[in-house]
Amino acid sequence: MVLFISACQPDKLSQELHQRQLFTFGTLVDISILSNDPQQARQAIDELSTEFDRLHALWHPWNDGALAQANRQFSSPVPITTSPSIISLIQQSQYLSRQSNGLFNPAIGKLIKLWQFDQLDNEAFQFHLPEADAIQSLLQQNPSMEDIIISHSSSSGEQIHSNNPSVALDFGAFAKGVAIENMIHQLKKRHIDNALINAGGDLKVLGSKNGTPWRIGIKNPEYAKNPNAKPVLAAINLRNEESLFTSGDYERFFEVEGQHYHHIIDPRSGYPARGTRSVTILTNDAALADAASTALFIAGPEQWSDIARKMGIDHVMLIAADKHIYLSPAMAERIEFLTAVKPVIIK
Amino acid sequence: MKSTLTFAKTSLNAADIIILFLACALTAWIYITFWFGNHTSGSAETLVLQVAQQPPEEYSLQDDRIIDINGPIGHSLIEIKQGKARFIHSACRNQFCVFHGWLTTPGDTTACLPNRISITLKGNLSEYDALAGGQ
Amino acid sequence: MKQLHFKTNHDDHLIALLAALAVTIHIIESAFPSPLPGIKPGLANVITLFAFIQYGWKTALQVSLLRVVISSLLLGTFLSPTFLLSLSGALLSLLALVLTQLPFRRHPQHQPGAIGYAIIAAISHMSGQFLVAWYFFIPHPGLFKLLPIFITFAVLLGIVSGIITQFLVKSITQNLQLSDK
Repeated sequence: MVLFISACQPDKLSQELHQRQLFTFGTLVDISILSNDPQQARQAIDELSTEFDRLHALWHPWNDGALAQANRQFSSPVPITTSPSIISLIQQSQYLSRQSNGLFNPAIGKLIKLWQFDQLDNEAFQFHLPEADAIQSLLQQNPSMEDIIISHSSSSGEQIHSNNPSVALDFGAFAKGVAIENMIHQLKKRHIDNALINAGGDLKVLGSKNGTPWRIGIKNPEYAKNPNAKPVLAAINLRNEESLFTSGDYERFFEVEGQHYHHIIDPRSGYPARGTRSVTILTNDAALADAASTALFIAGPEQWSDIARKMGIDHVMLIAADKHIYLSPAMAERIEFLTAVKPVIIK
Repeated sequence: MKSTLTFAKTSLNAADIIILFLACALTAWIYITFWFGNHTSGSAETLVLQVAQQPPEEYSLQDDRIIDINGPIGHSLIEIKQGKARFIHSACRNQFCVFHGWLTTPGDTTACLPNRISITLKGNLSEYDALAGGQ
Repeated sequence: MKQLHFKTNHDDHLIALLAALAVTIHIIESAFPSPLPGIKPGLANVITLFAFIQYGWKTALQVSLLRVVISSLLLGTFLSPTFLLSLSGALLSLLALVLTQLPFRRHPQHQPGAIGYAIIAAISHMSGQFLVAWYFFIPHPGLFKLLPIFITFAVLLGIVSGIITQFLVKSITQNLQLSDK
């Protein structure tokens, strides 16, 4: 009887785990698929790899792809045709921008470029602070998602143009989420029901690992600065189709004269958002999770709860710059802390 | 009932003794499987090293050594010692990979993204399926 | 083998008596705190065991079911998770007892004694509860870390309740005349 129980535990549905790491989308993407057909698993992962690379190029703000071309065109109000996926990104972003009171604002691409964060992958690059005047001037022009108009022409289909020449689209805070949603959808179409896609710490899961829920460790922001701290702060078991996205001030940043400048720019000040160390979001839609983690990071310890409510996010963990941990009540139910912390639960 | 054993006013026959013996054996087995089994199969045996898009290579964690990889931005040095592994040097700016320190349990992973190198410890049971948070 | 429908009043009274005893013990037991949820001295099982050894599995089944249902009604745990755990443990342990007895049908004199049966009953009772707990309430792999402790207790308590049952059987057969197996 007891032997029966122990046999139950590992072998319940027993599909094989196929795992691969890809360097793509500017980060390390870890894909795990459960399948009894190694061929199917390999083909699925190959397809995801190609698709990630394609989307990365297509949605890059400053290369030669579709988005980059659109960005160059926005300086004039002439409508142009562009890829349907970009139209979709614009539409989703407009909605999310409204829901976040403009804190999620991909239209500030020029501001982000001013901060040179697109050069983070360039090892040799010397970072310097942007001129305060340049920042102010961009802020005053107030680039926003509302400035982009999608129009329908009978001859050319859907077109876009911008009323505001200071607009440039940088979907860095959103593209990963959208991409992951697409990938998960592809896996489902291939009848893969149990998988985990982890793109540099932002992830979404399908099903479970042979009956056991996917168990995720949440990194401790302290560990990035202090190797003596515990590497994992908390753990959470994810359910089918849940996404877990984190924005942190320790991920992409540069340092100048001992000051730390991270890549999440507050559209209101033009400078990296202050007051928050990291935000972790749990929700189903990966695109929403991506946008929300940025918006709530910017909202900070005072406003996150209101913005979360507006965006329809129930599960939030916010670690403030002063190291206090804030949780929404729903998140408090799901998360398991591994260290002795006293989080504050805010409704 | 035929009594084969009588002590302290209780009697045990052959079947009783067999059952008692099996129960003890079962209990011992359960301890081993669920307590100590977890620890031993939770110890890492191999290091999985992946460079760029090439197929991953595996190295035994039992053999101490230093691995020198030449990636897109330069050299990264990975040390295997006493069943653990770490980056001791890399050509990247942020040195996240080096600061990560020793990888000790299965599932532990770190990477030098600019140099396109990732290392992961492989074993039977690891605590987490993935780590959320910054890269 | 006994008929399922007892015609004699004597046997009905017997079952009622045994069930009442079992319920009483169960309720007294539940007043005491247990070191871990699910770890109980299991003294009420002595009654079920006694019924099984003396009167066969059908009597034991009735006593057992009566005990689980009535206790839970009295304690207010009817149809609660506790009830499910209790029921699954009781059913599984009875099943195990029956299965253990099967090979000895031709040679009942070699079948296990009270202690042997008690150990079987205790282990399967604990397993039944553990299975239900894992499947319906805590599907967490960490639950299995507790299994060794539970099983140890089950074996020990099994031995204890076996000894007690053996005493009971001896004193009853010495003192009373009852319908035979």
